[in-house]
Amino acid sequence: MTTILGIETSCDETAAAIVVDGIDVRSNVIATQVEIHARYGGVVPEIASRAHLELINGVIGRALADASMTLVDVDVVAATHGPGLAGALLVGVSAAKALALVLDVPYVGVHHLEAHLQAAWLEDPDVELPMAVLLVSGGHTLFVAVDGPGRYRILGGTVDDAAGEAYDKVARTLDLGYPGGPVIDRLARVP
Amino acid sequence: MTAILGIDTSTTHVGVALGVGGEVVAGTSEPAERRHAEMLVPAIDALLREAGVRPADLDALAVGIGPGLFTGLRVGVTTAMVMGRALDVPVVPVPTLDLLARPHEGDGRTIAAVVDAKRREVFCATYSSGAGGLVRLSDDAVGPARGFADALDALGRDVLVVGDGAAAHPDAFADRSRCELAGPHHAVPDPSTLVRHAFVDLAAGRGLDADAVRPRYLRKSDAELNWDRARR
Ligand SMILES: [Zn+2]
Repeated sequence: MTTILGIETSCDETAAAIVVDGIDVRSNVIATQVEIHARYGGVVPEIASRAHLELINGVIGRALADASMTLVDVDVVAATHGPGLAGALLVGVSAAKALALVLDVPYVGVHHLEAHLQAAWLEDPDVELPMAVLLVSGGHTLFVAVDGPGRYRILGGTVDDAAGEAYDKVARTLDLGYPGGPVIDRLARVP
Repeated sequence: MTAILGIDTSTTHVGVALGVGGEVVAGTSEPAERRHAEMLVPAIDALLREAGVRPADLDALAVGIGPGLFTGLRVGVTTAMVMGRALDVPVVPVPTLDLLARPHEGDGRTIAAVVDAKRREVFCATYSSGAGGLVRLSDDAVGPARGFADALDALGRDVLVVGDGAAAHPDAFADRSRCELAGPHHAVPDPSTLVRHAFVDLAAGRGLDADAVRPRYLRKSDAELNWDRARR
């Protein structure tokens, strides 16, 4: 049994999870910063980084408590190491490396988009390879062929911006507030 | 015996030092060139291994809390906060400008600790350094390098300028007859000073719960400054 503590601070959410043997999610704690960025109409990297620093210990502590575990149960510490907001990423990476040092366990830096691809197995552990994945997150819109672990081919993507970015920019232009996605979805619905 | 690990990433360097029983046993300071996060944990690991000290043997951490450039500063403060929480030991926060001034205690002159803040600005604080020890004369402040140099001139006293601020803004500090620039050996904090400082602070009960430590940013983010400006 391998217990991994995963830490993610690539954008405006401070998050930590405990996952056993790759697919058994024992806890998943997310502290969102939506409210503190709302007045600026988008995520402010420096504000996000400052908030991560203040939230990180509490979020890690909650992830352990929710999983009924303590630090001694952790076999590996992982963190999103990019792509993302540079200053924000460094808080999570620094936290993960510090924990790995204290616990004398390996640190694993994880590619942000690879983590999105791996999420498929959380939904269905029996997903078979090769598979095609449509990756639509806040900052990325990609069509990817997954041939095996660590073997990916990008088949296509948007010409210019990611779908999530388009949502945010349209919302800003139309003064719909932040985050704009849910508002646009609601307004776009055919009555 | 009390063991303290000191961490400072508030300037251009990554500094770590280990103190045991009130004495500094080892320390290193290396230029980081924005690779603070990559360099810090390996530096701590090497320091502890060489000294034969395990992380679990530490009784406290000490960390330089700035002011300094935000991203590097946060690497050290986050590391100290997370290690402090994981080991359940206190963290002693030490202002970076104090660290720069401390070695000049007893000099007799006014000490100005000046750190480059980019955008033609510096972080600055002043201290007296006479028989009464090092006494802070001003709060940490951020502002134009030239303005601070003018203010130091206006003191009408002999001033020793330490930190990397004067070298980063040579025209602001040129031809200041009563300011002596301490030079490159006093440009970044010495992590040994941090640990020595921390032994005193820890004994005086100034160690904090790891979650209570905060960097001294001094500056708001650009987005907040623009927001303030728009509403004025
Ligand atoms: Zn993502």
